[in-house]
Amino acid sequence: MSGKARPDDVVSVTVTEPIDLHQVLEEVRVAAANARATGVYPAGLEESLQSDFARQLHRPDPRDRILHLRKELERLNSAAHLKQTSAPTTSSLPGGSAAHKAVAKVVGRQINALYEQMNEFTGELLPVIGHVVDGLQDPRSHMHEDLVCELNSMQDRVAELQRTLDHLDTSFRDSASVMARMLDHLNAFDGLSARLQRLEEAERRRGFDPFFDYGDFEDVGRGPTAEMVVEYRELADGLVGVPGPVIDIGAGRGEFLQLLAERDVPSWGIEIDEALVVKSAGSGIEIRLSDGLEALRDVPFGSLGAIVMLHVIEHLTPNELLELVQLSFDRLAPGGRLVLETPNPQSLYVFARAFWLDPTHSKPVHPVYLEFVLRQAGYSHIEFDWTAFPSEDERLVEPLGDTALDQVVAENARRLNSLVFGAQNYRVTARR
Amino acid sequence: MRISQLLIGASPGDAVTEAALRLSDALSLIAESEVYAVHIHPALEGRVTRLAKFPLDGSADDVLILHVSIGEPGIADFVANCPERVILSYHNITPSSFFEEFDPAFAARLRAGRWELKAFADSAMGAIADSEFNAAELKALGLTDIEVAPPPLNLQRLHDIEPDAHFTDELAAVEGPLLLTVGQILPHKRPELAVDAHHLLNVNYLPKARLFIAGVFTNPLYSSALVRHVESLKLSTVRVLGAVTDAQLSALYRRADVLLVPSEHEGFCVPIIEAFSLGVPVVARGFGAIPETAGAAALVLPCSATAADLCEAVNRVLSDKAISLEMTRLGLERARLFTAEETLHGSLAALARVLQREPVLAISDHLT
Repeated sequence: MSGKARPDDVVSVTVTEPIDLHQVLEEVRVAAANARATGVYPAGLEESLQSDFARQLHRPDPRDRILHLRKELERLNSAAHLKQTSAPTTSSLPGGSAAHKAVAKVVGRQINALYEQMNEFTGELLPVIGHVVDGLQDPRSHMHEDLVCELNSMQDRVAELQRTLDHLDTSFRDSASVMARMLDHLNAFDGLSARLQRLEEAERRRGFDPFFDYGDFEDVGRGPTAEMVVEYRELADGLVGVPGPVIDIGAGRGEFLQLLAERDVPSWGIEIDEALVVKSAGSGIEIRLSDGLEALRDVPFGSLGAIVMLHVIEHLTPNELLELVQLSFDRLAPGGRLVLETPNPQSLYVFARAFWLDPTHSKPVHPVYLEFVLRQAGYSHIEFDWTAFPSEDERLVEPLGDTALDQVVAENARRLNSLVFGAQNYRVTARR
Repeated sequence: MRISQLLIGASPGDAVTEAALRLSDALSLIAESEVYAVHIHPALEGRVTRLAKFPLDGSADDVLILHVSIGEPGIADFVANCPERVILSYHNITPSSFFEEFDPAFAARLRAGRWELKAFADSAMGAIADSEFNAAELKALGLTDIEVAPPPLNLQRLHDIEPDAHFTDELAAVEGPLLLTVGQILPHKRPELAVDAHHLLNVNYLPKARLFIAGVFTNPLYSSALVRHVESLKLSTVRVLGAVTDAQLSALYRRADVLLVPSEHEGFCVPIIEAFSLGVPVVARGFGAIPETAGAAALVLPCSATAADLCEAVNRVLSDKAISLEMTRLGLERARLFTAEETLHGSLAALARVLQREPVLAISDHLT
C-alpha cells in the first residue's frame, strides 16, 4: 500500500509553504522537454503506441464473419434438398409425346441415380461445414489471428528499436565530431599533429602524384596531338547539330575540343590535371579545372547536346562509372549523346601493350557490361565502333595456300588474331 | 402546477439521470414532479415514467425541463407542441466527429442532437447549463437567458457506502502507486491515452505503478480495442474493469494515488469532483469544461499534452509528497463547493432565476 494521504490525514497536514500548481505545471513542461531531448521518449514512440491502438480499433471483428457463416449454413439446412422435377414430355408432333416419354424413361433412371448421389453427398457435406463453423467460433482456433496481431506488435517494437539505434548512431556521430574537435585541441600539446602529418604524407605517397608532367606522358601513351586530331575528326563531324553544347570530360590537351571549335560546335572541357588546364590557356578553347562528376552535377538538367569521355572510364571505380552514366542521362537533352571511348578488354593485345602502360588506369570496362549499364540507365540507340586495330605487321600471318593444312592454320591464325590482336579501343555512342 | 423533466435515456449511475431524480425529489415538495424518459433501464421502472404516459392536459402554468445530451427522433416535434414552458438543461452533446469513423449510427444521433438543440433553443424560455463551457455553446445558438449551475451531485454516497470488501483486499495487496481512470469507455474520453501514459510511467519511472480503468463498456468495439491494446503492450499492470458499483468505486477512490483524466471533451466531468471529495489528486488536460470544473485544485495540462506529458505530470505528483498533499488539500477544499446541498440549491436557484423567481423560491424553505 502506498503512503497516499487520506482525507482524514489531510486535516492534520501542515503545509509549510504553499505550493503553486502553475509552477508545478511549468516544471512538468520542462521535465517533459528534457526527457524528450535526452531520449527518454524516442521520436516516434508515442506515434507507435497510438498506431497500435488504431490497429486494434480497426481490426476486423471475426465474430461478424462467423455469424454470417452460421446464417448461411442455417439457410442451406433449411432449404429443400435437390428435388427431382419432371421435364414436360408433351409434343405438337404426331407421336412426339410417346417418343419423349420413351427417352425420358431411359434417361430418367440415370438422372434419378445422380439425384440420389448428390442428395447423399450434400447430406454428408452440411454437417462437415457445420463442424468447420463451430471450430471457427471457438476462440482457441483463432490462434493465427492472434499471431498476426503479435507479429504487428513485434514489428512496431522492432521499428522502435531501430529508431533508438538511429538515435544512438546520431549521438555517436555527434560524439565522434566532438572527439575530433577535442583531438584538434590536444594536437597542440602532445605531438599528435606531427603524427597526423606523417600519416597524411603516407597517404599522399599512396596516391599518384608524378614528379613529371603528365601531359608529356600522354604523348607517349596515346600518341602526339596531331595523330589524335586525325583519329577523332570523324567523331567531331558527327557531333555537329547535337541539341546543345558538348562537354568533353577528361579533355587532356584539348585536341578534341579544338576539332569541335573548328566545326563551330559550342563546347568546353573538364580536366582534373591542373598542368594540362594551364597549358590549354590561350589556345582559344575552354578547359575548366574540375572533377568530371562534380562538373556534371553543376550542369542544368537536360541541357547538354553531348558528353564525350575519351579514355576516361577506365580510370573510374565501378560506382563512379554508374553514377556517371546516370548523371549524364539526366544532364543530356533529349536526343543528346553520351560518347565513351575506352580500351577494349576483349583484345589480349591491349593488356600486353596499352592498358597497363598508364599507371592511373583502374580497370578495363567490358563492352557487354557497359551496354547493359547504359540500357538500364535508359539510353537508346547504343552503337559500338571498334577502333585502333594493331598493325598488320603485328598480327599473325594467315597462310594463303589451298591445302587442308594451310586452311586449318589460316583458320587458327584468324581466331588468334581476333582474340589477341582485336581492336585496341571501342567507342560507344548512346542516345538519350 | 406541474414541473416535469424529460430525459432521452434513463439508466442507473448515469449522472444526468441521477441529477434529474434528485431535482425531482426536491421539486416534488412544492409541485407535482415526474421524470419521463424515452428509453428506460429496467432498474429504474417505477422511478422514471415512459414518455408515452406524459400528461396531455398541460398548460402554460406548467414547466417542462428538457435534459439534452443526445438526439432522439420526434422529440423536437414533441417539445415544439408542448403547451408547458420549456427550460433546457444542457449537459452537452459530444461532437459526432469522435464517432464518425466506427459508429456512424451513433454519430448520426449526435449530429441530430445538435440540430435539435437549435430547435429547442428557439422554443425554450431559458436554459440551465452545467458549465460555462456548455453555456457558451447555447449562446452561440442565440439563446440569451442561460443560468450556469453544476448538476445536483451526491458525493456523499461514496463516503457513506461500505467499500467493496473484495476490491479493498485486492487493492490493499497492490504494492506500487495506483492510477485511476473513471468514465465510460468512449472515444472522446481517450482511455487509451491513459494506458499509453501508464506504459511510459512503467517503463521510465515506476515499474510497479498500476492503472485501473473503471467505466461502462458503452461501445463494444472501442472497449474491446482498449482491452486488446493493453494486451498488445503486455501491460500486466493495467486492469480494465468495466462498469463498477458505488461500493467498488468508493474502494478505488480510497486507494487511488492519482485520478488521470485524459478526456478530450467534457461538459462538466463528475469524476474530478468525486476524486477531490475523496482526497485523490487529479491530473487532466484542459479540454471543454475540465478547467472550470477542476478550478485551481488539479494539474490541468494544456490540450496539446500527449501521453509523455501526462506520464511526466503523474510521475511528478507521485514522486513529490508535498505536491500530492497540497493537491489533496486543494481538492477537498474544492469539493466542498459541490456537496449535495450546494449543488441542489444551485440548480434550484438557477431554475428560479429562469422562471423569474415565481414558483420555486419557496422550495429552499422545504429543504434542510
